[in-house]
Amino acid sequence: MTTTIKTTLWAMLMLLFAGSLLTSCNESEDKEDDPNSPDTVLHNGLYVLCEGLYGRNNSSIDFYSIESRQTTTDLFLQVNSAGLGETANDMIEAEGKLFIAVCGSNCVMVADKATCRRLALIPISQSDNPQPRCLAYSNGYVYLSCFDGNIHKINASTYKIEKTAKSFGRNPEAIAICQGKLFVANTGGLDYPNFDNSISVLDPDDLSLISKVEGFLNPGRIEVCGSSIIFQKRGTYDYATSSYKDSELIRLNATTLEVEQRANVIVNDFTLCGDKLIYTYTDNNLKPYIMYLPLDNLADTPQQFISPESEDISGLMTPYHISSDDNHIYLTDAKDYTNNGECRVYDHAGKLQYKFSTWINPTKVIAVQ
Amino acid sequence: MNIKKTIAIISSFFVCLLSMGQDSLRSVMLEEVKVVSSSLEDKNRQASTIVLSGSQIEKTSFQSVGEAVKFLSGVNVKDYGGTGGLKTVSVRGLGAMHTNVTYDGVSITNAQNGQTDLSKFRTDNIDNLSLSNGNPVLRLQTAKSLASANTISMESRKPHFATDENTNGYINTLFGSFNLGSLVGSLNHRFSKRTSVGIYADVVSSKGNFPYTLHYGNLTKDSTSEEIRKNNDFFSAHAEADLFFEPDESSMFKAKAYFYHSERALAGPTTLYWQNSKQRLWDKDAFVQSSYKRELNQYTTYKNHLKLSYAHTRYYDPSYNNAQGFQDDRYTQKEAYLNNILSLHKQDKMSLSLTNDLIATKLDAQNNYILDPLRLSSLTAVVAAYRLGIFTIDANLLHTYTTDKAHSHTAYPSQNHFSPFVSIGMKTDNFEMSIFYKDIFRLPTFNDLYYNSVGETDLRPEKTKQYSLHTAYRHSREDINRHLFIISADLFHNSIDGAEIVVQWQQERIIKSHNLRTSANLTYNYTHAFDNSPESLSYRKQIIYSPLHSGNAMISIDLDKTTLCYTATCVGKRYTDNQNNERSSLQPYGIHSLSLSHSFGRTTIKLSCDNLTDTRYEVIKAYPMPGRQWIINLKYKF
Repeated sequence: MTTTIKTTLWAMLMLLFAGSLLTSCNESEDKEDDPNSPDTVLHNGLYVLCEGLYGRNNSSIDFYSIESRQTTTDLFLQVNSAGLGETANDMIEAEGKLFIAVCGSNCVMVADKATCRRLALIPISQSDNPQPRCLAYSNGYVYLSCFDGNIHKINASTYKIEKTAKSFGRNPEAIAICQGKLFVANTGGLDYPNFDNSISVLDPDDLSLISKVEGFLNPGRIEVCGSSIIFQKRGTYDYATSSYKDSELIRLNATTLEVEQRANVIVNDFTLCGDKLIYTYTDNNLKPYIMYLPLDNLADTPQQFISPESEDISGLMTPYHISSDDNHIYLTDAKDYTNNGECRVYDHAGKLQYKFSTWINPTKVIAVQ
Repeated sequence: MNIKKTIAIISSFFVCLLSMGQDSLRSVMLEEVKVVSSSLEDKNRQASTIVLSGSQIEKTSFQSVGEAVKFLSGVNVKDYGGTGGLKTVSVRGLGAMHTNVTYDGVSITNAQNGQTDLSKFRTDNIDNLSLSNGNPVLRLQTAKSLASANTISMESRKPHFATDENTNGYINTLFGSFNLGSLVGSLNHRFSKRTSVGIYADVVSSKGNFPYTLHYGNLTKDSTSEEIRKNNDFFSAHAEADLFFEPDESSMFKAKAYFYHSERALAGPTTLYWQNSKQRLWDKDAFVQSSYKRELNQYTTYKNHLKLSYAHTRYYDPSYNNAQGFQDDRYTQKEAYLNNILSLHKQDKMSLSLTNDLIATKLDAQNNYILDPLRLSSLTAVVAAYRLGIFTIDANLLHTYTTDKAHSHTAYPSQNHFSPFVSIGMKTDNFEMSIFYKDIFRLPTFNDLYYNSVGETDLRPEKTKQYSLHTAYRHSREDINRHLFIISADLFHNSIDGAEIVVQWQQERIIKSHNLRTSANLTYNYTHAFDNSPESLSYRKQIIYSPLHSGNAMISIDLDKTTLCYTATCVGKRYTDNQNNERSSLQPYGIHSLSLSHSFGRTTIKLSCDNLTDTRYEVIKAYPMPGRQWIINLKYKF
């Protein structure tokens, strides 16, 4: 009997040892070389904001070095030893800083653009679930739209929320400043299929309502084009084809608030580049297209910006976000939304310059000189 | 999982095996070893079925079936943490909707999402749990049980009476860390030799406010903070009544009425910089089911199952940013189920059965969107088995017909499909080998087809061809040193490919002179399950949440009226994204638990410590599991 008990206890001890070894192994091996010490100043590269996957707290800011052609996945986490949080939705640069709206974590993260070091975390807690979505900057202030219907005016230097007001619409999202007015797209996205259809026009100083322009079902992205704004009327989303129906692009005079032009095209996302409005869409067979319209006449017939058969578009699966600067066009590819994404960089003629793999669901791209 | 960890696990298990094996050579008073429960009678074929008995479970600290099934080799439980955390099962990397869960022989269905939450079932009333890969081994099987890739069977406790006893029962109270409390009562009565009833009821309450470590990254250098899980409370009330009636020697009638109610808070995933979930979930399940079995003659058996069920779920989120300012979704599923089986059998040589299920399932939703699908299904199967010496051939042909009706949506087209299954096996004293092919036809769930915005009625049914090759070597001593050692290797192919190696060692010894009984059950499991779609971005990557290495141990010592039970679960690294990025990996963990119980006459007191080492771990990303938890049980039998 003594032997039996001894043996059984011995077995228990060994199992305890096995479990302890198993759990302790991860302590020693998960160290990784950190290529970016906290104060490394970054040059000549691209920041890519990646949303990550819902419920995983794994939004990231990747950094692609153009010189070394290397991607540092989640530079923000590496520099700060703490991740961005849950589903970062938008990122802008202002006053040498990155402002990131982190929707699931209900905060705005502020980081030094030169190093990606975190400067501040601005909690957004004016309701039970604010869901910050989009950002815009003007005259020392960052404007933030939240799905709970609030618009916040944040001092870009002190990070203090100086003013909060209603957007006068449901689930405000895209936000832009033009001609001294703050334009907010009220999507009503959480009332699918009963979307909102309004653009609220607010005074950037006190966030009071100047006007509300209606009749644009499920308004999306807003871009400033001189003295007018161009925005997307997304229409109804069709899950079967993963595309919008009754979609339009609309140019609105920012002073008179009159519609100047309409383009009856299906648009997933768009950007303004020189004299062109370049947009992406996918057809019913999920084939992606990159098209353009002349900015001076949106009602013109759309043209292919890049031929669908071109090598420059080969391998593109799910165009997710498109943007441009003086030199390049940045197109992110969300692939199947659950795997690593990709970022493609084109010149203004539509020639692919390079591409690189990113974290999951890449969205905004900001260049670092 | 690197080599170091692999060696650590394997060597430790083998050290255990060797050390106990040496002892077994010296032992001289070994008695019966119960490898599997006796409830699996009427076996059709020699498939590998793994069983965990109620008496084994009773020695442990397991509260719900969701915790206990982790000890069925090959089962991967997706546990969202805490008493009220959702617990679904995945076998060999397949999703929960591929596992058919039965309770007393009849499937538990969830037409809405196809998953069964095993946290709803307490272990107190469970007689045994078993897992069957491919088809279940029972001869008198419902057609629905033949339709899934694997089956987890739960058998509830049946009344047992001593010769001079007509009434018995027990009361069991439980208190534990994190405000866990439970009261269980059971009463059985025998009216006559042929008629008995059993009533069982339990209530469970928990605040679930356990501490956890919030990680702000995946590396040890990354920041952490100590937090308390919030909005994680749980309450349930559950009652069952059973009637057992034997009209004559050749007939058996069983009926069960079941009621379950729960209200739970949904803590949701741990979110960096923000914890404010206020979501709640209510469940109300009720069903009545019966089975009637009659031996018509020496060669013919008839059996039927009848079930009427009702399941109501309410989900409430007071901080949802829609126009009304909250989300309040209510779903009601009603189902009528009838199964008839006629079986011809000749001793142990051959059997031929015809089984048919008729099912009507209705789902109604009360929320922003109207949802009212009705599905009528007929499943019919011809099942044949023939045994010749060491060889057994087992085959069936299952026909599935479904038709949907829906006022709110375009109804899903009617479906007709024949699904063949064939298995050929051989078994000697030490060696067994079998190969099976199974055609699986799975319809999209009501959520897939009709749910609010994302439902698509043009989805095609999932048609999968499942192949499995099973080989096993077993060594058992039946004379002096009774024990069992099994090493098995399986190759499988369906929507995913994979290989599984299982090493299992079981031993039970009784030394009467000292009233000592020891039992040990050690299992090591290697499962390589990977995506086999060449067009997929995650081709040949490990299936998410499926560890390569896992193992468990259950060791108990019964000395007179005292029992000490040790359980351990070790799980290797898992990935939470399809491409197996390191950043998305979940670290390995080992959980050790101890239970010590002592009986004083009719009263038993049990003290348990779950997660003895207070290991902080996650089974599902961002859903922390409780750390060390103390539980005390007081049970009085009458």
